[in-house]
Amino acid sequence: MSSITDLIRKEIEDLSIDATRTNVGTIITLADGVARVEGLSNVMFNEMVEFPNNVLGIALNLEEDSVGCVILGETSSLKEGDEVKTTGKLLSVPVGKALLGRVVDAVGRPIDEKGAIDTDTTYPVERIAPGIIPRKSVSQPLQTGIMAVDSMIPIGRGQRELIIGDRSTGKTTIAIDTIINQAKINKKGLDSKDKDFRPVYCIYVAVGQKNSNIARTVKVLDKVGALEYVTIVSAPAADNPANQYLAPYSGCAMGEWFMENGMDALIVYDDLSKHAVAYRQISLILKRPSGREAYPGDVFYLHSRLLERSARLNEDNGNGSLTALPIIETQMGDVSGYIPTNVISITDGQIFLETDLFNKGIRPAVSVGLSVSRVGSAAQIKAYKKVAGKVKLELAQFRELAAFSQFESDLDAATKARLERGARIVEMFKQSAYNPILVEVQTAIMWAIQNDFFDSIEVSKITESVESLKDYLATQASEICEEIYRSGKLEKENEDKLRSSMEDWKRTLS
Amino acid sequence: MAKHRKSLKVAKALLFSSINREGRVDEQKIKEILIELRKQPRSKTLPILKALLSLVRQKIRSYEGHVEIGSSNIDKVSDILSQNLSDSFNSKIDLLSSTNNSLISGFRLRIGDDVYEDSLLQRINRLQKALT
Repeated sequence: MSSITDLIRKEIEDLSIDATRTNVGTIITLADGVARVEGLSNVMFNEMVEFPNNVLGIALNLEEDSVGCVILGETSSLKEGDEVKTTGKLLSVPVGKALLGRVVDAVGRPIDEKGAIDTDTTYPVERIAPGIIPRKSVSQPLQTGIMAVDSMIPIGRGQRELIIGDRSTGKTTIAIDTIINQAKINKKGLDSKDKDFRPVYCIYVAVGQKNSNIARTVKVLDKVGALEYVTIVSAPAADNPANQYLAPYSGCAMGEWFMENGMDALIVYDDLSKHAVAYRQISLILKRPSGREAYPGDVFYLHSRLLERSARLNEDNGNGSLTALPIIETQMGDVSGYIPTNVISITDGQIFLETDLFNKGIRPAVSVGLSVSRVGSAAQIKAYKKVAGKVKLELAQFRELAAFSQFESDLDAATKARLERGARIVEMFKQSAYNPILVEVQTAIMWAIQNDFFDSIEVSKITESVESLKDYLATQASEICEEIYRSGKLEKENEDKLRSSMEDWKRTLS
Repeated sequence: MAKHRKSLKVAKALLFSSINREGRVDEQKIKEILIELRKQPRSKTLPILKALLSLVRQKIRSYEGHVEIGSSNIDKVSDILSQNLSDSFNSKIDLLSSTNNSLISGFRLRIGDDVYEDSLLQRINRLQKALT
């Protein structure tokens, strides 16, 4: 009996050959994070390939006699003649709520020493943007907490709003303030147990930044308690260009998970100028034909396919949204550069920051004339729209009049009044970094200036007075703010309450 | 780029002319091609030769397999594999065999760009990957 079973078992053992088939190639050249590989005859475009020592790469150039692969990791261990394997998988990153509060690299690996990321779901980094049918118009606001932005250049959930300006003009600060404000709103909304409340989760993608800057951002977000709602995708300047090229797509895939699961997310790409430079570097090494400013021909597509993935989905598709705040750095305030014009034409508006305003101490240095939001006003809450509707026009008129009034000694009363009001609005919009203001408080402040409560205050003391009003509203008139927050409207009754509160505040001020 | 494409085109034509009736690269014909190329200026022949080398290597790899066997029974395994391969590829495959003790047991066969592997080392690696 046992001899028969042994015989059959032996037969099975002889038959059970479990050979796996892998398509392989050999590195023929290796330079600047790009390997040219001979072989890999079955590789797919954008497929993940495996180099020795668990180093990953992506097949980006499929040529007749070789394959150009960008390496996503340490290249010092690789050499000519090393074997490269196909994996049969497109590059994917982990997604889900487990990523919140974490700092990851361009392929979603944790770099914050907080252990492994507890998620089984992955999304491919390159995905097709939602089409026309699943989309919906922007209808819900996404408050930045910055008065100058929320009043004049409102942003809606699902919008793509570009933040553009020269170096050191406060571009990143606007993005970080927006993230902090989302965390503030999330905490308040989740505490209120409101069933209809929709938190906004954030993804901050740092491309080509200094490691010290990224560390500072993480520290700021952690300090204000916003990190628990944020995922940071880091591809610093010290990282290879392949990782810098991939990071925005990885971040976008992480944001898409929230959108496709009926949640709202905000993604900040800081910044796309450096992203374009990294892509140019890869393209030149891969010997792709170069065009204007040595950028490859598909540099527009590089950003359009990324930003088109931000959308507002309709109810049939979960009602989620992904709002994008791409950042572009200009040179000497020139918005007509190649990459700035590309991204301006893709996005739904831009917040332009001026060096002159920044140096004058007007911070955030938002240029009213050059900044625009094409769709966001539809998403502004009614109460805020009521008080902020005229501000942009008033400020634009003030800037124009201020330029002319330098040559005039005798001005009529109406012009003087406009100049006075404009100067006060400019002062009121000055806001310190990492100090966003909730929309109900902003509404009350805007109402006060529109109803002449700041007219008797000296221009130099406006910022101080706004701080005092904020304190007053938080301690003495919190019910009115709560009412504005709940209803989203500014009814006659609330206006009366606001008036009496403002009169009371003015007395404390004097 | 255009120069490279032109060299590749010439190299492809040369490879085509050097293939014999069995579909293999003929050594004699390659020698004749090299003698002819020596007469041309160096700047012209170098890129063609480089492209030809790559194509010839690729062609040879398609009918010449290399098997590494992780056991002492090398001849027996090699014979079985050689017979099975000729049946499945419908053409004769030359098999070069060698022992690779790091495989522990099993084999690793490379034909063209494909690697077929069933070794203990691979299974251990797979297990290690699954555990981490």
